Amino acid sequence: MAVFISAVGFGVVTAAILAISAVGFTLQFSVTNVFNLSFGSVMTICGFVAYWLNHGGLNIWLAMAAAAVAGGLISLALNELVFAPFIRHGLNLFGMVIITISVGLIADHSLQALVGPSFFAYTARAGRAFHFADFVLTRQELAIIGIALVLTVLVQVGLQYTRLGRAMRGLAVNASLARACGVPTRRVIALAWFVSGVLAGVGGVALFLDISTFTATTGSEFLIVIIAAAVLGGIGSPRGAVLGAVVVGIVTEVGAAYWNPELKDVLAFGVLIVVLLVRPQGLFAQLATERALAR
Amino acid sequence: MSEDDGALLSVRDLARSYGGVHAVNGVSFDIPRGSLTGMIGPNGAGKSTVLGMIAGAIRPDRGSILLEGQEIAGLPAHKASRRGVIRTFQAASVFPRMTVVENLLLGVPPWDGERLTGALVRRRRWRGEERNQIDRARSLLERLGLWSLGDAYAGELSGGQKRLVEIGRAMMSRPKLLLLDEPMAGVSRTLAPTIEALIAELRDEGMTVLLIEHELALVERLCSPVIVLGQGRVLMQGKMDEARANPEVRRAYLVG
Amino acid sequence: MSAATQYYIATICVYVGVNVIGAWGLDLQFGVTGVLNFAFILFQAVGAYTAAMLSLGPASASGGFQQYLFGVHLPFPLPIIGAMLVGAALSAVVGLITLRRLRSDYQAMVMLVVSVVATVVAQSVIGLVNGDAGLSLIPNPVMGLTAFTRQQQTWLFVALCAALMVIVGAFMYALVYSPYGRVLRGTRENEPAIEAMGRSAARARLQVFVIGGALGALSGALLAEFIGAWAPSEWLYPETFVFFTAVIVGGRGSISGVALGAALVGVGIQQAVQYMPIGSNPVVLASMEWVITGLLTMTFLWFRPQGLLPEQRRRFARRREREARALPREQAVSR
Repeated sequence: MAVFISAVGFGVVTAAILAISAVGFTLQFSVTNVFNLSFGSVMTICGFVAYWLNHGGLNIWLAMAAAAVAGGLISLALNELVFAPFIRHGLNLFGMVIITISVGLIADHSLQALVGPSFFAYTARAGRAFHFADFVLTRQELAIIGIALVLTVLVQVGLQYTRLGRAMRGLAVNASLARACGVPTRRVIALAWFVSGVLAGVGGVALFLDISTFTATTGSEFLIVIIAAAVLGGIGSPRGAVLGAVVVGIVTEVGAAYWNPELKDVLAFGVLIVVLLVRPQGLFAQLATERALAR
Repeated sequence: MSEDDGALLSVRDLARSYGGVHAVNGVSFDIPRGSLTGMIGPNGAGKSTVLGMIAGAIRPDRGSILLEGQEIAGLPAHKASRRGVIRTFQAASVFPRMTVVENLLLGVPPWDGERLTGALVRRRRWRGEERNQIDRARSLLERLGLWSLGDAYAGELSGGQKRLVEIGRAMMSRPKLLLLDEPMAGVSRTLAPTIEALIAELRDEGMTVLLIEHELALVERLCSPVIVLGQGRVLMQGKMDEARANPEVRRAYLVG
Repeated sequence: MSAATQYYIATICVYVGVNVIGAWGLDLQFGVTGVLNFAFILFQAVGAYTAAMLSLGPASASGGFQQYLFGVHLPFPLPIIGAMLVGAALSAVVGLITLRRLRSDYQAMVMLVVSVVATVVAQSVIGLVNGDAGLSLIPNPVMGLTAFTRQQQTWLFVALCAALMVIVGAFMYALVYSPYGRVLRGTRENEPAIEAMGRSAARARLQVFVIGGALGALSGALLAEFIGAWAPSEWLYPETFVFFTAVIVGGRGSISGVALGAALVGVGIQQAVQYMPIGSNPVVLASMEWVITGLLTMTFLWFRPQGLLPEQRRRFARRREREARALPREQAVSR
């Protein structure tokens, strides 16, 4: 029982990191209709920005905030300079997937050429350990969970109650209708990319904190797990992303504790494959059939 | 057409709903053999859905579709097509990065030389068969007035030219039943008379055609009988002037 | 010419042949028929592993230092044929499960996940294909021909690859320029229309998935037998992207184009980075290969999506009668 509870504890931390990232991934997808497979690379870059600031003397949480802003700006730039032009150029959905993969590969490997294949780590203390029944959470882990809660609630509130949030939801459902109703689509799309980038930044730093050592390709490796969570919950639904993150996070940690820890990721992917085959639209069905790309 | 010609297609109690909305709600009609039957109705009346169900692109929720007495309801599109039901699409559906001749060649009913094995064995025989098809396609191009465009990519043609290619492709298959879904959509004023004349010729040659169109004058010129749909049901089937006089029809057009 | 130089050239030849065969497999799926197989590298891997296991012999035999599912010691060409059959069979299974009516980018993602799952399983389940370490000491089919010197054996293998490349090329031409090829392209161009003309798009897609998978497996078998080893690091999911780049750069749907693309992207980039002024750190070189591959794809998708040697327009020779009547006689060639 103790094993189970401690595994759940780990699962909650993983779920927190996944939730932040999956919400970022799925929110941007819901508004722009682009499967951004360079999301993991943006996470990595932000993780490294935080690393350089951190090793320059900055507290890791401040570094995370800076990385978050960097992530937002990088995502925005990527859309303005690369993705949007290609969409206007007439590329179809699959072509866009190839573009995002290309960007991801270029980013990852440029970074790797720069920093080398070694492992890196932040200088951050795990902090005091808090005991909850049978599991233990360090202050660092609690902070991550707290950040995840705050951010996911903020996103949900923003989508529900702000004008721009409603505009985003409108674009997600029907882009041309939204434009016809006077929604400033370019601005809303830009905002979606920015928010998604911010979440990528926070998620990236949180991920690197949690796994202690990281390389230039860690973010991209994590991307598939993020996709698993996002798809499970229903791609395009931020609420679903959170649910998917919780399920994937806890299931993988519990499975790893009882079964083979090497196969932890296989569990996540197994879940994803089953979902994709049985119910491709996920738990909260939001998947549209072949929609035109929002311009 | 006399009563003895009989119905080529009999639709009974066809229905289809989308998420609680009844797009088609119990539609029944007959299409007489050799007729050019028109189907009209306001937007949302269910015309395209009915056509889609006959063609196999949409699964009916219930109902029967008898083609020459054989049930075809629920057959997938490629199987319905093999039974002789050939359709065109609202947006002229050509194969863009293939030549016009190749577009027409894909109108020929599926034949043995097209199979995977046909690419590897008995190739001379299939080449001969293909030559015959190419000749047919070229004479059809002459008839359609597209003689010089044989080697052009179909995607580069104008809307009206694409429509001609699409109808030509359907003609290559010698269909039992030709379904035309708003053939005038996207066609310029210059080519519209050509297409209308072509449809009339097909009728005169004895092909059975179901035509969905918005332009009521065109339907009046070409079609008999005319089926009027409204809110997923058949309002009446008969002649155009009867339709004009029918109070239910008039109400449907004003409201829907 | 020194032995080392000879071996270097022979290696390049083999890599070109292997990449071309593999790229043709993907081109049949993606370039001709529009199937988005983002798990393509998996089928190359299956071919490599199968050929290895069919020539290595049982795991216990060589002292048991590598563990794998099963092993027999079959003579050439049975391991290669076996590899193709297994590749085809696995393609059929994966295809039946994953080739659904999903939107195209989603489809790509499903395939990607399949590829990643396979890699993780291969790495973690040691008894399957010896995990991360992979299989080694894979016998080369020409090694048993003791009548030849080591050098001659290498060139024999090159000849084998060249011969297979010619055979596969002829096969591709026969397929793509036939009425069957027309149905495949129709499936790519307009699926509802091809179905409306009585052809099953699903069947066409499954067929090319299987054939392409077999070709991928063939390329994997040859590669594994040449290198003598095969491990998960050879088939991580981004490797599929290299094949896509080859097809896009060369020319989607064009057989000669894809061959050119495969040579340029598969081998050319690897050679080119060695002459770039970025030092000789292998990690940097490998990274630059990826960066160049990504940049190439983006550049071509922007400026020349049809590729270097675009798919040819199909023209058919006209009969004499019509030539005389209407237009000037055209010497169009029937392809």
